Order: sequence, then structure tokens, then C-alpha cells
Amino acid sequence: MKYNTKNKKLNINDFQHPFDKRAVDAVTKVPGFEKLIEFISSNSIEKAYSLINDSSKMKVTKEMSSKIFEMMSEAAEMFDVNYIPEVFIERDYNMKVTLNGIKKPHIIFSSSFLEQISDEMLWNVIVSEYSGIEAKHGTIKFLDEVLKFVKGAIPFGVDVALDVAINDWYRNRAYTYDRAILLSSESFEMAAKHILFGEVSKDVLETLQLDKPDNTYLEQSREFFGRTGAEGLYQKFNTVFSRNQWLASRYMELYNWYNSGEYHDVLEGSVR
Amino acid sequence: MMTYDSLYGIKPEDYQHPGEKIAMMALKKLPLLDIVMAKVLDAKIQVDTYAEVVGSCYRITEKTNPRVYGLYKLALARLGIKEEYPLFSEMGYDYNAYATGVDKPFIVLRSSVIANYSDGELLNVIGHEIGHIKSGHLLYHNMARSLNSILGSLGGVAQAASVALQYALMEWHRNSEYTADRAGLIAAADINVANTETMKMLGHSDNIPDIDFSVDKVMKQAEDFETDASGIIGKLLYINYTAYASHPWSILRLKQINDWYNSGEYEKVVRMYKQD
Repeated sequence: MKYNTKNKKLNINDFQHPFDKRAVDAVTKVPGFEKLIEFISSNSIEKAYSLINDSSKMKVTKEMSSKIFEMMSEAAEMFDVNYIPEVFIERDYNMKVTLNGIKKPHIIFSSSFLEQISDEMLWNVIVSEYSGIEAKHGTIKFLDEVLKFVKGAIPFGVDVALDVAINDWYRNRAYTYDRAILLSSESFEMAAKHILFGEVSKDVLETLQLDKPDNTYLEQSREFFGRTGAEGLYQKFNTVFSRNQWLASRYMELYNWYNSGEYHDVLEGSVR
Repeated sequence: MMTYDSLYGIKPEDYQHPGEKIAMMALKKLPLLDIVMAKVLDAKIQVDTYAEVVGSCYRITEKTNPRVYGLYKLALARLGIKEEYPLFSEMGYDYNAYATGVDKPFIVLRSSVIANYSDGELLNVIGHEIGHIKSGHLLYHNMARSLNSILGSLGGVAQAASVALQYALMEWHRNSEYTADRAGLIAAADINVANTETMKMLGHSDNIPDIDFSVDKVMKQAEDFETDASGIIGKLLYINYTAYASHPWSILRLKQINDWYNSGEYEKVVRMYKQD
């Protein structure tokens, strides 16, 4: 194993964030609904993804990058699954990774992301994308697409409520990804840096000691959560229609999980 | 690879894509075209656009950017054009460029294109835009851009008929891009840079390590690409993603320009006008 050097095995049920799991379970635990969504998705939106990706993005094959495919294979083995998602690159100045699809998941890296990321971090990100597939994130994303399509036919209050719920899930899924990166890297500093990657310049990111108990970002995050009154309300409700979680929230969630003992229990169980 | 400094005498018909010719014939058969054209010819539209560019972009001249200006002059000569059109640079991270104006055309390049493209790739982009001007595309491009607001001012049956006009215009617009890609190749005089330029739009970057972006690997994606327009869902998706698209998919552009090059037609055109 070149990347999964300790031959770790991960199971999404051991570390998926409860807020993320709650939303996914609300959909997948309805009898037959998951299969129905998978069928509709594979015969509609996944055909659209295929068309858009193959026509307008660069497909990365095994011949083009043995490195990426080696990482994918090891991640698949880590989760004890046998699929390798298709990989695409799209020209984008924003640093981002997108996971789509249910029956045929695929990953899209922005060109800026691949330009700036180290091999080590890329490996950890691939592990987190696999955790997203295992956590059935494709299911909620599909429902999101369906909602956009049928919005006009849904009564006003209901569509707003659904929007809020889906946005809430988008924000909370980041917590699962962050946990996956921590479990893969076994480095709180690396996982925390990943949260800030793309939001803070590279040279500043190098100097931050995000794992130290007296680090300034921890102080900043605590201050963020300590805000009360109108400021506290603003923080709570400002994100209602946003799909991006506060960085300070992600950092504190991960920090608390890391220090709760739960992380160490999962990690111990993962090393066979 | 042939090299040449100028191809004076080259005509737009020499490199026009057959799809563009067919699409233009279909477009001219449609009613409403004259009405819409009259509105587009409204000088105000053109004046506003130029004012915005002069006010917010910087003009590329021999003094302000000798590298790009030199390439621009070479592209003009290779496309047989003696006059110059104003050339500007506009701040932007996306890889894009455009030509606009009808009586007084001008060209705008995004700053990221200037910063990140090689000389050959820049020649390809500049040649592409000059190709639009030389081939007389700009009037219809302006029409496509203004179509929604123009059609909104018409009512009743005219609005219903306008759907056919919009579809036909966009079909022509996409084919005009294939024609301009051929002009780009003529300006660049190198199929490899024409390919790498298109690949950059797909996501290729010289700064991504450990990925083999060689053209033959990417051409496999172009060769394997099939639009699955079978079945009702396939057909609906295809129409949905193409009907109002002004540009063809990049993978199809890669295929089209390589087909033209490999057919020997590009070389035939260049040999006809190449001055030794």
C-alpha cells in the first residue's frame, strides 16, 4: 500500500456525522424509496451528467494518471468496495471538488485544486469522497436537482422548508468529509488545514499551527461561538439559505470530535 | 509543420465549416429575421458595448503589450487582413475572448488568456476572433445576444415563431464557432497548439503534476464521445443542453478541427495562398 500505509479499513457508519446521517436516513429509510431514486437518477440526471462531463470536461483515465487511480484503488479497498468513480477535471479558478451520481458516481476536480494540492492531501480528499459515496450523499443531491425542476409546482411554504432542509444537509455533510480526512491522515493539523485550504493563502496556511491548544484559530473559533444576542442570531440564521458551513463551525466540530475520544475509538477499530 | 507569414487573398469560404453554410441557409428562410436584424443594427447597441470596453479595459498596442500585439499582427497577416481592429484586455479568470461590433469591430481577450497561454495558443485564440470578423459573423452574434430582449418586444404569433428563430440562430452560432476554430488554426499554423488551447478549456493545466495531458490521450475522449440521443430521455437531454447553447461542446470542437486538419483541407487552403 503506497497511500493507505497502515492498511486501514473504514466503515462510514462509524464516523458519519449525526446531522448528515439524520438527513440521509430521512430519505433512505423510507421502504423502497432509495431503490426508486437510484433507478430514476440513473435514467435521467446521471445521463445528463455523462453528457456534460464527457463533452465539456477532461476525463482522467488510468493511462493519464496512474497516481490518481492508485489512490482510488486503495481508497476503494479501505472502504471494502469495488467501484472506481470516473474522474474529470474542469477549468475553474475556484478550488473545489464535486461528487455526483448514485449508481455511477463521479468526481470532478477543478484545475486550480489539482494545481495547488499536495499528493498527501489529494489522497485524503479521495478518501473523503469515497466516504461521501458511502454516506449516500448522491441521494440528497439528486433530490435537490428534482426540487429545482418541480419548484414551481410546490406550494410556497413547502418549497422554502425543503430548501432550508437541503441547505442544512449541504452544510452538515462537510463535517463527515472533515472526519474522513482526519481518519485518513491521522493528523488534526492536516485535517484542519484542509478546512482552510482555498480560503487562506498558502504561505499563511503553512504558518498556522492549527493543532496547538493555544493556536489563534481556535481562539477565533471560540469567539465565534461565544457571540450572543443579535450577533449570535445572525450567525445562526445567516446560513439558512447557504450551502457552505462556517469554517469556524467545521473547525470546532472536528476539534471536539478529535478530543472526545470517539475519533480515537474509530481509528483503533480501523487498523486491522 | 508548414510556416508562413501571410496568406493574403484567403477568403472566408476557403475555411468555412459546411455546417455553418447549411445553418445560415436555414436561418435565412425564417420570417422575423429582417425585423430582428433591423433592431440589432440599432447603433446604440454597438456604441454602448464599445464605450464599456474603452472605459473598463486596457488597449493592447505595441507600447502597452509588445508580445501580444506582435502576435496579433502575425494573426492578421496569416488571415490575409491588412486593417487592424482595436484589441483590448479585460480582467477575468476564465479562458475567454470575444469579438463584437459590426461596422467597427473590436476584440477583447481575458487577462488569464494572456497570462497563461503560450504564444501559439494566443495566436489560435486571436485568429479565432479575427475569423469571426472576417467571416461576417458579428451581426448574427449580436443578434443572438440581443434576441431575448428583442423578441420580448414582439407579441402574439411573432413570439411563438421566435422559438424557431432562436433555435436556428443558435444552431448557426455553434457552427460559426467551428469556422472560427479553423481560422484560429490558420493563424496558429500548428495543430498541436490548436489542440492544447481547446484542452485548456476542458481543464488541462501545465501546473497539474503527474497527469499525462498528451493530445492522443485526450483525442481518445473525443473519439469515444457519443451523444446518446437514443430514447426520449436522451433526445430531451440533447435538446436541453444544445438548443440555446452558443458554443459547441469543447470535445466536439477538438474533433472537428482535427478532422479538418487530417482531411488535408487545411494544408490545401494554406498552399493556395502561401507566399514564399
